[in-house]
Amino acid sequence: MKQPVVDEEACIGCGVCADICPDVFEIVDEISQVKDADACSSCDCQRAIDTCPVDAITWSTP
Amino acid sequence: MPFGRRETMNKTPDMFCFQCEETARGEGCTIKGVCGKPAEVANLQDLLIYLLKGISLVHTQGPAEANDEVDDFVTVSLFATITNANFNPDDFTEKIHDALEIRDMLKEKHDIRSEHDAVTWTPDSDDDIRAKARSIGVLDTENEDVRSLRELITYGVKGIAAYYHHATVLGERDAAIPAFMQRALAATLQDRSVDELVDLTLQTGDMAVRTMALLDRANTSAYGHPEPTDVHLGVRGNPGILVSGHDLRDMEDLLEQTADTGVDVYTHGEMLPANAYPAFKQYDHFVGNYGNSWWEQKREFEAFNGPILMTTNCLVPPEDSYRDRVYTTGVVGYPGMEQIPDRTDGSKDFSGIIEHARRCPPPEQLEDGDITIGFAHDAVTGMVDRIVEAIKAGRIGSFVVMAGCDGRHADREYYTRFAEALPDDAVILTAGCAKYRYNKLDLGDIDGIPRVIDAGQCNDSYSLAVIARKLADAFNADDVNELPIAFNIAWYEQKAVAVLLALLSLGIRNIMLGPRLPAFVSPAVLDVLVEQFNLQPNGTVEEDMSQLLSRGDDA
Repeated sequence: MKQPVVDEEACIGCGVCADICPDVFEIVDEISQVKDADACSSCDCQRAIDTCPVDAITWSTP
Repeated sequence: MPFGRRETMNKTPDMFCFQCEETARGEGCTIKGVCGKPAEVANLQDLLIYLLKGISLVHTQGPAEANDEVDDFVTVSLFATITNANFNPDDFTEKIHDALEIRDMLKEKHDIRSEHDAVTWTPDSDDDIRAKARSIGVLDTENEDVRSLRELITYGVKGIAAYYHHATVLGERDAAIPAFMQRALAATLQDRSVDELVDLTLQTGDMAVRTMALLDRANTSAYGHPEPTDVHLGVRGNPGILVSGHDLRDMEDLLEQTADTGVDVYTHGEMLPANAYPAFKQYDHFVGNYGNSWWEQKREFEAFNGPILMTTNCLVPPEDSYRDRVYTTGVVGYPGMEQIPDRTDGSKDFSGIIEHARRCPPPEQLEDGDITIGFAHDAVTGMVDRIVEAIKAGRIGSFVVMAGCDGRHADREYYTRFAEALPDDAVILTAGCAKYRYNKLDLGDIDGIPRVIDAGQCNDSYSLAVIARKLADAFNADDVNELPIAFNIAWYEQKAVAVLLALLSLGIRNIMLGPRLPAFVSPAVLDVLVEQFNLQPNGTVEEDMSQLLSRGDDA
């Protein structure tokens, strides 16, 4: 199953992804981290990927 | 591998910018702008603003005389620093050189000796410029409330600059406006008390009203009064050019030059209201509007297939797939994008972009149908009797002004849900791109009066104030606040700051502002705005609906 991955070098910690998918992403020390990649049933990680202003989120390829 | 990043966290940030609604974590962008602006550009913008303040300090100490060259430079430079306008470091470095030259020319001409660093600092090289750009900025003002007011004034002045620039392009001038902008900028370098700065903030609102009135006159005398118009959302089979931003003069030049070329013209985002101007409606190849507001441009510019003209903000850093189809002009800039030069006299030369369009396939259709726009003050004045009748008969119960900006954050779905949840007898008054959250919902009409009365671009919020005044007159009300009109305003960039200050200046109370309050408004400054104007943050749709509409019933 594909899972979202944050490029921590690219991330600027703006928090957009955590707003859209609070169960999946959280901001820790000003960087987005995936806290529960399986939680996306309740939100829309594709939208988080599309909205990220620095394109720092991608789907991992299994 | 965030370890290296964590280590540097307590050091000076790479940049600091909190001028827009989307600023990182609602606090400030410190690594790169959420808008996509790199730290280098943010810092150069800070330095340019600093030098514009230096110019203003010198110019306001000299004899009170208009100087179009200086005034226009300050105006255009401020405009270039608005969110999503210019991402090109070279443009800002060039403007910084120009600013130094103008400042020193004024110093010599008026024999001004100021010791302020913004007036005396002189670089030896571009390296000096970059170093200075990194060393100065918003956080230099340590007192949180003074900083808040200085930035509130500066951003309001940026909005005024944008609107004044549009007016000057159409030949309208009012020397009091650039004079005020410079007086306000100069004041932000000086020791002023919080009370003095609050007073200056309110004056900024007065001047924003004056500037929007000037721009309204400029637009309507050049292109006629907007007329109620059904705008097509679909596409035709010809290649097209998509025009975004707010510059109507660019629209005029492009429509004229594309006539009989086989190339169609469409609007995007804030250019939508161009479809309602009589001078533009006469062109058969002006097809309609394509897509939605600015933040959806990555998907929509890709699908458009043809070239895109960005006349002002909002530009989003492009995907590679369509980057070579985006043209910038005016204050807009992006590294590597083709810039269409300013007009020297007559019109801009759009032949390159027209040639480009001819080589492109037609746009991919995104949607079908129409939306109705064109209800600026002139058109609504013609309907006032009908509106008053509908109010008296109880068929219109309330108006909600839902003007302002749209943005990319998920919490702006609030505005869609709010519009959907409105009672059937409520009418929305709007201007700006905030409308894209609800203007395709098909909310219907009341006695032929559309439930979304769309006055135009963000600056056409002026029209909403005129409409409110006309309704107040019709009901013999002294005060607009006595009418059943509620304000639920969405903001994003600095023109919205000018519009907000304008509404406060017009005496409008109880404005609800969202989706988040500005990061640059400190708790104490917010207290002042709450105390004087009862400005409020958004809550939930249900809470806000009950609060805003019950206030209408009391009136």
